[in-house]
Amino acid sequence: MNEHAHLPAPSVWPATVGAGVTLIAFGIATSLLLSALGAGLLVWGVLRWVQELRHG
Amino acid sequence: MASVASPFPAPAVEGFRPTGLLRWVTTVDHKDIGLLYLLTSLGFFVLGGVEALLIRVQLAVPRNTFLDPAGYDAVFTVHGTTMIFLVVMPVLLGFANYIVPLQIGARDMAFPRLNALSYWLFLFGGVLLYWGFLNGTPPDTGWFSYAPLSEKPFSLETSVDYWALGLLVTSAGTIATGVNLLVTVVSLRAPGVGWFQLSIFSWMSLITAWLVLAAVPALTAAQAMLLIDRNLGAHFFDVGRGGDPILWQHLFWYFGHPEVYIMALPAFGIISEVVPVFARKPIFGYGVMVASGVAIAFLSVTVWAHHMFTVGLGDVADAVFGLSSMTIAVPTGVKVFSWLATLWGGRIRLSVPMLFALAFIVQFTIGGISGVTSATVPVDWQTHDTYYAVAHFHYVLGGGSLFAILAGTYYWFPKMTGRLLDERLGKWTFWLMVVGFNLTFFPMHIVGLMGQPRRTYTYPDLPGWGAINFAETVGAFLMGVAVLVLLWDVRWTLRAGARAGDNPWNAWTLEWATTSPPPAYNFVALPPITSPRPLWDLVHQPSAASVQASAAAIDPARGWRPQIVGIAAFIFSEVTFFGALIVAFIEYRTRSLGPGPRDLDVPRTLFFSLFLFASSGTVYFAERRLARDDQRGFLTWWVVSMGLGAVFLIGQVTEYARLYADGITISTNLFTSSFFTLTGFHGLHVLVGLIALGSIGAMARAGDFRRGRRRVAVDAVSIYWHFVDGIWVVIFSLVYLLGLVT
Repeated sequence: MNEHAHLPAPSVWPATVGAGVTLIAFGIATSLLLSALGAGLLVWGVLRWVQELRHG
Repeated sequence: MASVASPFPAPAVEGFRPTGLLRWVTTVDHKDIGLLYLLTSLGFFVLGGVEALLIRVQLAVPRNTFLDPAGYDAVFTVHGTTMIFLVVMPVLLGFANYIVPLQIGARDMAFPRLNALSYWLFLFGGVLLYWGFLNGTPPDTGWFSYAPLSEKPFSLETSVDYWALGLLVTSAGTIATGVNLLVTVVSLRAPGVGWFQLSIFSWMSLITAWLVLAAVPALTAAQAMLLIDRNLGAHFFDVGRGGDPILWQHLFWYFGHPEVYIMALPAFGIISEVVPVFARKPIFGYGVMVASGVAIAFLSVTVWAHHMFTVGLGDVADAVFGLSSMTIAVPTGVKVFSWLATLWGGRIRLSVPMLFALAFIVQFTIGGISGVTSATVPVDWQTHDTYYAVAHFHYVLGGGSLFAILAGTYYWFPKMTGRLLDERLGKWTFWLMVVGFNLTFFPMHIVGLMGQPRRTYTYPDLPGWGAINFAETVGAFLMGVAVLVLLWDVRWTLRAGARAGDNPWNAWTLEWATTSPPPAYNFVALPPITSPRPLWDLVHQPSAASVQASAAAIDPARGWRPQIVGIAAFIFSEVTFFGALIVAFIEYRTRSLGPGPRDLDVPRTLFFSLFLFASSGTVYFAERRLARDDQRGFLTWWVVSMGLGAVFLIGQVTEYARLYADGITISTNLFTSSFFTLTGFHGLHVLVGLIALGSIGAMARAGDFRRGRRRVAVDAVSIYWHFVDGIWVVIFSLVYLLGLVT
């Protein structure tokens, strides 16, 4: 019998990606600089997310 | 009735689990995320409720000046948007998040991290929506934001931008949740949970997930067009340049009416759980209940123009949409009769969840009946912009969905917290809510038939209007008191409420077969599952009551790979999105003077398109090499595919550059607006596809796919790439080839 439950580890990257997407949207109404910042956050979050999946 | 005792030890949960605030920021557990949805929605519910009270104070007496017209417009806009997008929908998604994996015997949702992302998009999107309030430019164009009022000349501030952007972000989260829920039910059902062993709430959640994917992307596309109009000078809904505000209405209501069922179907599911448990009888007509849910979902995408009878669509369109709208009452009526037949002869317990469920049945039926009257075209012409429509809408979503949410809250609160909400305070909440609700909204039928217009900040002192409106305001405040009692009850219960035990209602579905609250891994073991009510079977078929499974055996063993089902579901939503853009293009391609389809360089675009089409073939070759574990061959064909996709993209960029050099931009006319938007979004998809191909390529170089490992990731990206190619066949034919012959 399997006594270990393989549950995914907690992750901060979904919140990071969510913040990136929102910042991109916010920048459209305010300043494209914020959108660029959001895009950076999005890319960073996605890359770390994929890394986490690869090592999970 | 006892829950399932297990001879097996509880499984150990591996890995670091943070506590405190960090736990909530980093959680990917479906139960935590369900609670986050519910708590966040509660916060927005309080905001939306305060806005409702402001509306009612303004309307309490004739010619009131408590709010000025602009303030009133802002408050009713944000109230509607909040209650629909930030309260009812996410609360129901929150319940689905928490309950569905438990009801199907799963450990979690199919994609736990995506689930967390969906929540954060909902929260951040909601904050973005309210940002307009904080910077002094609240949206004021109604929750439907009709064009041309929402266009730049009529709404110069950023209010509409925040409205559209906030909803775009929350909608992205909603679509992701739709994908996740659908995959979870399709792929993660525990052994024994077949389609006919699925609880009705899980069935309704599955159907709702499909409906989300079928409907929400239409709103996303419409909002994208609106934002492009407002920020890049396109003309989709710009009447002055030939744009068609009716197109906005079509797209909005293509989303908007299924949206009503996105908020109603899970409510039907909740009621279908509560009524049998508190009538001590299995649901009457399980199969018919499921089938009627499916029928409602399909019919709901055929009725949208009944919101537009006063537009002047013509007799044929009015007749078709009137008929389809009346038809949808049939499966809905089937559900009502099934609930009544379940109650008939039952040993009814009038506990608080049941009280709310009974009120739901009565009030939702009233809303359904007024819905049928509104589907009658001449009646709708008379009542369309009156409080009769407000009454109808609120009986469906307030008397219906909200009461189901409250039934679900009292029903599942013990499972989520381990404590029972106080019965006496619950009955206070119920009666205040039921009296307050009906006092607020029933008289609106009357004053609506008397002619009081909705969305108007005040009204003249005509006979009876003042008294009726004052009574409505009293009713609204009674509902406010009911909410305060509920909040007090929750606070008190969390501190000192009675312990619930695992199954306080003697209920029958799988969520009651684990502890309250459930552990991180949900179940140690599952009971035998031969029907949608396995815990009922434990009592009524005691011979079958042996525990069947170990922790390992609750893991799903199905052929439906989650990643493949997930990408298929996502593509389905993309079809809706591109469908909306294509509809706009077809309407506008030859509608204005100036540049048109004949100005496009078809041979050149065909040349570059061949690279994209070829890339589907090379991706296929790559997959075949991977199937033979030929890593080098796989990588070679994969890189070739990326190169071909990149050449196509370069072709598109240079085409745009050439058009811009000739003075043909997105703001030139209707054709260019729809051309650049449609092809631009496709180009964006190619770019995303290239990034995905690149990621897979990098993983292949690192040896991630050796000996068939993670093969499914390659399959999923390949399917997406084939879709991007396939949709270009449609777009190329419509945009370029059709221009040659017409």
